[in-house]
Amino acid sequence: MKKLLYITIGLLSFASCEKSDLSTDQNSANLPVVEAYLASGQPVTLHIERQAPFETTDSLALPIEGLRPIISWNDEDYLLEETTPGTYGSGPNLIIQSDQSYGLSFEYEGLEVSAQTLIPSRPAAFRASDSQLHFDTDNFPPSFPDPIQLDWENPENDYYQVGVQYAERDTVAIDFFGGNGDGEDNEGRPQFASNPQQSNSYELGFQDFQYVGTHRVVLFHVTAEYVTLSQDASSDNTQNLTTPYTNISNGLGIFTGVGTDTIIVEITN
Amino acid sequence: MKLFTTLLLLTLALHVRSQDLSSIKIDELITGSLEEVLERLADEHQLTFEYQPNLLKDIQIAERPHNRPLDNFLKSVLKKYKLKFYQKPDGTLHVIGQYERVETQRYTQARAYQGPPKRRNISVSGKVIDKLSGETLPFVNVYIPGTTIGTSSNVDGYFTLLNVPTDTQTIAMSYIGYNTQQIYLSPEVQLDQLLAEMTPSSALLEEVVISAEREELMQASREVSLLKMTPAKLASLPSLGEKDVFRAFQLMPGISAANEHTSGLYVRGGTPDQALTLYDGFTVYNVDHLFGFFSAFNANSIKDIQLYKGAFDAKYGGRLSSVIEITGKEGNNRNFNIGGDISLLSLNAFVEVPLSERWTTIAAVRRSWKSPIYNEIFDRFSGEDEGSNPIADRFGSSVSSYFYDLNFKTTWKPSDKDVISLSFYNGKDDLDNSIRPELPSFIEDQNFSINITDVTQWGNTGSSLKWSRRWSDRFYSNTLVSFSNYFSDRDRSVDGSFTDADGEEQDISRGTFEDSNLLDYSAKTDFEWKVSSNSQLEFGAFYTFNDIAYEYAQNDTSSIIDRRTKGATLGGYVQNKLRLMGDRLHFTPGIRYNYFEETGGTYWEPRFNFSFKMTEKWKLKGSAGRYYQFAKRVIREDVLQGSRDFWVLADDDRLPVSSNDQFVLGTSFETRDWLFDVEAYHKKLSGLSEYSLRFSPSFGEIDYNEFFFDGTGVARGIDFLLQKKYGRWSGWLGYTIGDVRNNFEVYGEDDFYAANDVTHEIKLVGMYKWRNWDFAATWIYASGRPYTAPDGGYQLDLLNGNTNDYLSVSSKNSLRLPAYHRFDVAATVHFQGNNTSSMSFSIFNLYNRENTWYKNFEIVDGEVLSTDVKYLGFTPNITYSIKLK
Repeated sequence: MKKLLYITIGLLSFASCEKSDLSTDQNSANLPVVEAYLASGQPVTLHIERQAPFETTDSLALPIEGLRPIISWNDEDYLLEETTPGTYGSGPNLIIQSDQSYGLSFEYEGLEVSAQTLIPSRPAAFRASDSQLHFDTDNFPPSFPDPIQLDWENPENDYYQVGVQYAERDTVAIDFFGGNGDGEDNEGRPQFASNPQQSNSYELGFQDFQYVGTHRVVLFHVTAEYVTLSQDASSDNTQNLTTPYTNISNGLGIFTGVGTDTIIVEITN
Repeated sequence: MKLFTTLLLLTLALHVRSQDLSSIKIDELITGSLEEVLERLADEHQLTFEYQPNLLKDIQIAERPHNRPLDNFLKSVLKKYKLKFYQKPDGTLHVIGQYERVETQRYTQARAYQGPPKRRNISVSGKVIDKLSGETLPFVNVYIPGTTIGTSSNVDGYFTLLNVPTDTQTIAMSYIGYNTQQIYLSPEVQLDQLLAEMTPSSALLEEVVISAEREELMQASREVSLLKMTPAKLASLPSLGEKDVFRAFQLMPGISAANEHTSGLYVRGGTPDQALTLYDGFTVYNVDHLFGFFSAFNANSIKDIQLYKGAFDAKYGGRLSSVIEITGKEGNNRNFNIGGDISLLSLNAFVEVPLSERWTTIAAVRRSWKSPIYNEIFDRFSGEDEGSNPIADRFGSSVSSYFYDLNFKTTWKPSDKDVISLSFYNGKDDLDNSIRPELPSFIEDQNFSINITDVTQWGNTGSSLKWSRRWSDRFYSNTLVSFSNYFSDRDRSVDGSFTDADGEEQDISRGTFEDSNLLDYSAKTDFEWKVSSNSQLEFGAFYTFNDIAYEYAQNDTSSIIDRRTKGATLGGYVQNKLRLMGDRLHFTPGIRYNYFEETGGTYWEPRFNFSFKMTEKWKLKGSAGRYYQFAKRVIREDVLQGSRDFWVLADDDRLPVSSNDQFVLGTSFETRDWLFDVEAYHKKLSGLSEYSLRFSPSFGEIDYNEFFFDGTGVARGIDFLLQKKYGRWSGWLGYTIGDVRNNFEVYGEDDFYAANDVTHEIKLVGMYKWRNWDFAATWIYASGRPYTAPDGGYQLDLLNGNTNDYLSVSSKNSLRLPAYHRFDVAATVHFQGNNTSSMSFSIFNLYNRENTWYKNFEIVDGEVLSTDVKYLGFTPNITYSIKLK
């Protein structure tokens, strides 16, 4: 039996050879989260905050104050000012131009946080087949209106996303849906948004609207980095948890450009 | 033997041919001492009884059998006096005490031929079959006791022993689940057509209540890393609704048992897709039923299962980790037989039809029913208990879900040398969560209709046509063509139609459609050539054509992923099973060659294994080899919507051909009743692929390969097994210490623990036999598996006005779930009567341990919270089984 013991020990050492380094915990909890959408023709506004911590209530997601973020382009730098806690802006002194590359940099907890993006152009030749959509609710049963066809130019096969926002303060639901859902203070509230697509048209159907009144139809010309982030299948369990996409070095979140154009559509019944 | 010589055997009538006791009917009144009665019966019916006289002393009987069969009559009479009898192969009836243990060798040796031999240095060949059903028995150990001469029967039950010293030798056969059998050569015996009949130990148990000495459920020591199981004995293990061969294998060391959510085998740090599963020769690509809680194989149609935990022969290829070879039953060739089981999960029925002496057929079918257990598992997996679907609530949806499988095999033996068999398998899981709302009538009038479809289906179909021929005692071939299909589909869509203002009908069709379909057409031929008594040359060639398609479409028209890869793998192998140093050393060198069309590369796999008998009881064993894998499975875990998986072929770009350089070294110490076995393994893996949805936008054209990341890994560990093989008490203690580390560049420079890494795993299996009851208990302990947890979470407002939640993540797999453990018990009672039937009661997770399956995270009020999702708790089950024979 002694021999057996020796052999067992021998086997143990056989199986345990080849040590390797295991990954050590690189804590990402202290990384700042940046949310910046630079729209062509607009000044810069961005927001920087802490992450919500895991299973502690010590410090909730809080804005990070007192930073000195710098926007740079073409060898020029511009220092942003803090307007409200965690929100930094340029005011009208810096207007973003399309097809231009911009950088962001600031220092946080001893690390240089930086990002870079290229501003997409304003959508070209954005038009709608009709400026209104009429729901015939007088007759019973009601009938369904033809959809509005949206078109724009997309020679580069870039990503576009359509969003519909309610443009009036108080909402009145389309009668067709039973008259419920009237509300107040809904201006700017998004009604609908498509997924980003590499296309040059979109069809807005009756099902995309809930309220009567004026709506803004916004076409976003977006970057691939935004598309990746917005579609990142944000997994929420241990079986396939991975770090979400970010284009911020030493940070999280997004620093990206967007080109927009807007059309007004009236919904009546 | 000492014990034997102290027995005074009284032998009546000298030589009587074995005969069927049930054909002898006893009618007249029987009175007198038991001894006198046996003498009378022996005289009247030319029987031979053997017994110890004092055993029958003072027993007086008075019985009127009323035309009962003799065996039935004897059984009932003897039982009254705590006695039993059994019939030996030569027909002698041996009467012993009810709990007495008997070794078959003791009496059969007495029947060996006593005269001088006429032939010397002969070769002996024949076939081994099951005495009750006539099924041929594969991989039976055939040997001459007291010598080093031995072999094993091939898959068709044929064996050839070379260099047998004389024609008066005794030949012994042992096979898991059967009583060791001996046959005796004599100068009159025709040496090339021996027919050895073996009796299943479980059958004896019911018929004659012989002690349980030869009933092994699991056999572990024969070759390096090889496990064998008796399907017949499975029923006595605790089960969750269905006796399951894969769940039983998970009780052995080296095969992880802490994965309730898949039947696939995690063997020695490997993943289920690294295990080759062969059923009657065709490859089965998915082994899961009901989200993986049950394996796709019906134990009622299985004759033999072998599992190589590694170190597999050059005969097998295309996988990195392990091989499970399942041989289906051929069916009873003597009697029509029918049987079935009903449990709290499924109904199971089989029928065996002997069409002629040479043609047998078996069919088995199984289908789940919506029992409490089924619903419990279903709810846990489909997330039905976590929040409800508002649309479903409003309109009412009826979830329909089931699985079924079907096995069919027909075997024709046109001559004594040929066997032709056709085997077919089909199984499917269907999960339909669709909603067909009943709309208000005015909308109906408007010609408005809407249907919400949510259907998930997966299944396998496989078939093989095999021809094997024994060309001579020394040469055997086995040729097979096979087909296998695995599909997995998902349809989540809304479709309908309405009439617009212009009176035109408009169709709505939105949703996602996933179709995965794998086809495998294979042909192979294997040859065995016994060159000499210490060399068996095996060689063969194979060809496999894979056609693997995966399509992911949105709105019925736009295809997001449409991948189809086709390719052939072909090659050959040669290996030589050598018996050296007076049979103390078994050494099998071999090499396998593969040509893989997709990469145009050639892949050589050198392998060898050995076992060396240090002493009669003590063996050293080991192996080394290289293993390649060309087709791999990709799993996209999706808990709420059901996991999706599909297979891909390697392409040497983002999906390299995987390889494994493996070493195994072990030793075993085996006595008659006990086995202690240790094996250490070390695997160096490369070309591993991981699938991540990290960059998987659900739109536009996608470069499919972007989903894959490749890396390397090391798996190593030691399996310990202490097994009490026979006796009233049997069972084992298994322990594995292991570790699996991977290195994927995408996750950083350092190694991390693979998701299937388990540090310690303990299995304790105990079985106890009491009268016609079998009791079994199993306890499993496994260290927690690694997982990745968030460091924190954040929210971002998107341009469309939505707010998305994101979790930032710690180092990969740097945390551990709590340990997994559970205790299961079962009791099975066997009823004796005209039919064979049994009832099993079993409790899964007796102490209701809440094992964590995975963790869920969400951001609530600026805080990241986690919840544990649990595996099944306390679950009782009951199974009733019955069969004619």
